Amino acid sequence: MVDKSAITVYSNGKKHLLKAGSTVLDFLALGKHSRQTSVVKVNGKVCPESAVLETGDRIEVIKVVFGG
Amino acid sequence: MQNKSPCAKCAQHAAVALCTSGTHLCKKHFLESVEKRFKGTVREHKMLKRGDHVAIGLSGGKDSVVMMHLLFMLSKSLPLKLTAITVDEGIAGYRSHTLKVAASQAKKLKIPLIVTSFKKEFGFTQDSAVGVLPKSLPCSHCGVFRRSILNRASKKAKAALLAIGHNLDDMAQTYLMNIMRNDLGKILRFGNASNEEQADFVPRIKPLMELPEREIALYAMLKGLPIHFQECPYANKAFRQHVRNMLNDFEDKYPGTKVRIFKAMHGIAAALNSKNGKISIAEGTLKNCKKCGEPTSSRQELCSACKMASAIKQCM
Repeated sequence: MVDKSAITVYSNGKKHLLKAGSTVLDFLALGKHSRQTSVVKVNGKVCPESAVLETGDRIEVIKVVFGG
Repeated sequence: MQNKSPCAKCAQHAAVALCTSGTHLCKKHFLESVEKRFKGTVREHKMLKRGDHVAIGLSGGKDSVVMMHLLFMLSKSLPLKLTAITVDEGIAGYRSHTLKVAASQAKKLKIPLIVTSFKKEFGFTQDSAVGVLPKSLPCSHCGVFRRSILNRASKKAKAALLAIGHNLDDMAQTYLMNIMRNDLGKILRFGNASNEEQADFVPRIKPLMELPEREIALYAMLKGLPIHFQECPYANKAFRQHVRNMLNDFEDKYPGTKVRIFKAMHGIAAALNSKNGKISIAEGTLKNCKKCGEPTSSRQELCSACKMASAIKQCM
């Protein structure tokens, strides 16, 4: 039976279970990534933190490093 | 993924939310926004004029590569001569990647590139110098050596200005660090350093100084620039890293903190300088280092870079 209140997303080869309606910002908070030092691609595209995630989404969190 | 946030300027889906205002912009309008703000900073702070020869401190990291591209873009409307300078500190597993990016991007834009190194200028690499001086953090001498080399190379290239890729985050961190260290001289020198009138220093400009670091990274990614997001292995030992983490926490909770710090410090420095005339922050007049000829304060025989290099070599 599919739990419609949860979604499954993937990041760094790992599966993550989130509440339905979770945003990119929620995902960052879950992984304790600071918004200031993170750029997120979902399914290969840069998107804002307000984007709502769906089951099957592949998330890449890129750490913005200082120096350069 | 559902991206329902529209661009504030068109009907397209937004790719980015601006750091301070939260404004959502599509890729096209975000890139335009960065370019417009860059030009605004250059204009407002009178950083450049027609025909200037600008040396570009090009490490190959996101900030310097983006800065070079933006200066190149600007040079089409404001004729500028550009020369890139890359300093190889000699950090294994890190610098070689960014050097390749620096070289490829300078070549792509047909900007002449001068490459030099700590090894060539001082006789040792950063890796071999780390830990040699007691109580000296890696970043302390790295910054001193790099600044000295960039100044020398800029003079040799006969550049009128040296462009450094310090962004808004760097500026806000630096001000806080200067306050924490009670470094009045540096606080007064704040901002666009093209007002440096110290003999033999090539005036530095920081055209990225009002752009948040994250937006510079986003610009690089959306422009398809080949940036390696790899951190210097010594970065976590730096005092700056602690200040950076603290400031990012504040920015998360109170958006706009970094901009406000920047504006406050700019205002304070301007107010103090205008009230007292240009306050001489060097102790006495400057003279030339006995070893390399670079400027140093009248109390010192050697400049900071030569003193540190000498101390490191003695301990090796």
